[in-house]
Parts: sequence; structure tokens; C-alpha cells
Amino acid sequence: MRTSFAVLALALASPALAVDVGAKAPAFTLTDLAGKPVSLSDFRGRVVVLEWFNPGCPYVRAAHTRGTLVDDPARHVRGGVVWLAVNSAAPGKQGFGAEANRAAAESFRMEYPVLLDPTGEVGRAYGATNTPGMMVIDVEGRLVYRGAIDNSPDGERQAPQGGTLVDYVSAALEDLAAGRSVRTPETKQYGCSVKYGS
Amino acid sequence: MRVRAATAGLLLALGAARADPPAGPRAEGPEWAVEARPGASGSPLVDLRLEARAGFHINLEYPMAFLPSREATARFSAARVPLRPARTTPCPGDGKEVCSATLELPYGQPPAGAARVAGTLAFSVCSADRCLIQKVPLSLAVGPAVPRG
Repeated sequence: MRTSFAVLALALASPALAVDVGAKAPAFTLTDLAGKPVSLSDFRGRVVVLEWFNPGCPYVRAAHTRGTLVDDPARHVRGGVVWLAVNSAAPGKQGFGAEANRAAAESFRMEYPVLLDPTGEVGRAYGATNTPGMMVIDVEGRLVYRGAIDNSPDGERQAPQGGTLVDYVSAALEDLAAGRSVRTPETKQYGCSVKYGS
Repeated sequence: MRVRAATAGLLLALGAARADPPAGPRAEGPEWAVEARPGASGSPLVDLRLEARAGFHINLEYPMAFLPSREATARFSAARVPLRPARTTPCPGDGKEVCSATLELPYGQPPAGAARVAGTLAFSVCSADRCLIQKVPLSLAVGPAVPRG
């Protein structure tokens, strides 16, 4: 019996059991840095981007100070997209705690909510493996993109694979705006591992 | 006048104390060490030996690269030379992760005389708890090219 529970626990933590791209995005309610609850259902009918975040991760810092996350969020929010950061770091792990997240959000001039997911339940449900890891949810509430912010795994747009920078999230949002299916629905996430609890 | 000279001397001394030490062929931190060595005789390569320490491993998913600086007299194929490990060694007790790697940096030598390979090595090391991105200045004199044939 103990073995069964251990196997079950391991399976539940596996990204393989996360929602499939194309399926309904898992519902959630998390609190922002002011303690206010924020639910995915608050944004029904709108395109939502989820950005997995950790203020202690150097890839996150690079993306927010020199990379694609410097401009993308504000540009897309101006275009009507909802952009939410989610931190799934567990208590005691790197990047946990409202104060560290508040300081980083201010330093990076993030004008969108940072939501705390200390149990990691939401991160695991979405298959978030790295920071910064990105998800895009369409107006019908389906997960239509999961992966990296771009194809430059240094976080600072200096090393695009294949020589040409591709901003995967912007491309997905452009596809949605044009009424098309997202042409690249899944890519490999890069960066730091999400600091889930055990 | 003496006061001015003394002040200038003090400022120069302070400036010298603040300046970064010149880059050499070795650099290290608590979590990593890197050493540049000339490659095998006659081959226009520098071996960059990277070692992860203290529970860290080399993040092979990071796009490691060498960014030549103005001090370099050797020639390089690009402003950012991508590097892949030519040889790797697994971490002790953990065959999945790599704790040391040798990166081969190719360069072009001036037709005559010695050259200097100088620039910044960008790499990343991670532990279970955190990752680091490092950009480390390195500089190494390399000998004159060995005539072939």
C-alpha cells in the first residue's frame, strides 16, 4: 500500500500529467502580492498569458532586464491581453516570499500581478518546469501555448537557435489575433527549474 | 602644489585599487573554475576547461559562448563564438549531470608572431536549489603558428 501511495505521489508531481496543450486550462485562484485573490475565471473571454516567475533566477533577471520580457508584457497588455506572473516556489526555496517578489516586480517595472502558488499545485497542473516558462490561454479558455518565451536560451536574446530570434509568445498572440491556430503550440521551456516543494 | 600632487597621487592610488584585475588564463568562484590552455601543438584552438564545484553541475542547456574583446589579436569567426563541449566528465555519484567539460575555441592567428586570445566566456552552472549565469573574462597568449608540411 505504501508503495502505491509513493507511486501516486510521484505521478501527481510529474509534468507528464499536466494539462495537454489544446485542452481546457486548469482553473485556479491564487493571491497576489497584496493578498488579493485572483482567479483565472476573472478573465473569462480574454486572452491570458501566464509567466512562471522567480526573482532569484538569473534567467528571469536576464529576460526582464535585457531580454524579451522587457517589452513584451506591456506591449501585449496595451493590446488587451491579460498578463499574470505566477511564482510556484515552495516555502524555504529560492524566490519564495512576497517581499522578494515585490522588490523584483518593482525593479523589473512589472505592471501586472505576481501570483503566489506556494503549494505548486497550479504550476504542476500547467506543466511549468522552468522560469521563465510561458503559457497562453485563448478566449475560450484553452491552453494554446506552453513553452519558452523565445528561442534564445540565455534569456537575453543573444543566442537564438538557428540564428534568428523567435518570440514564441508574441507569435502565438499574433496567431490568435489573426484568428489562426497557434502554429508553434509547444516548445521546450528553458531557464531555472521551478522550485517546487517535495 | 604639494597638496595637489599628494591628492592626485592618492586619487591615482585609489583608482588603481578599484580597477579590475587584468584577466588571466584562470578564473574561479566558489561554484566553478575555468582555465584556458593552448590546444594541441599546431592546432589553432584554445581549450577552455570548465569545472563545476560544491554541488553544482554545468548547465549544458545554456548556450555557452566566447565573446572576444578588443584586446584580442587573434581572429574569431563571430562576435559571439558558440561553444559546445568536446569532452565531458559526469559528476561523481550522479551520472546524469556533468561536472567538468572542455570547450574548444577555434581562432585565426596573425600570419607572424604570437597572438592574444582575450574575451568573455559565458556559461551557466546549477545546483538543485539555484542556477548561476557567469560571464568570465579570460586572456591567454598563444604561440606563433606552426608551419605545416
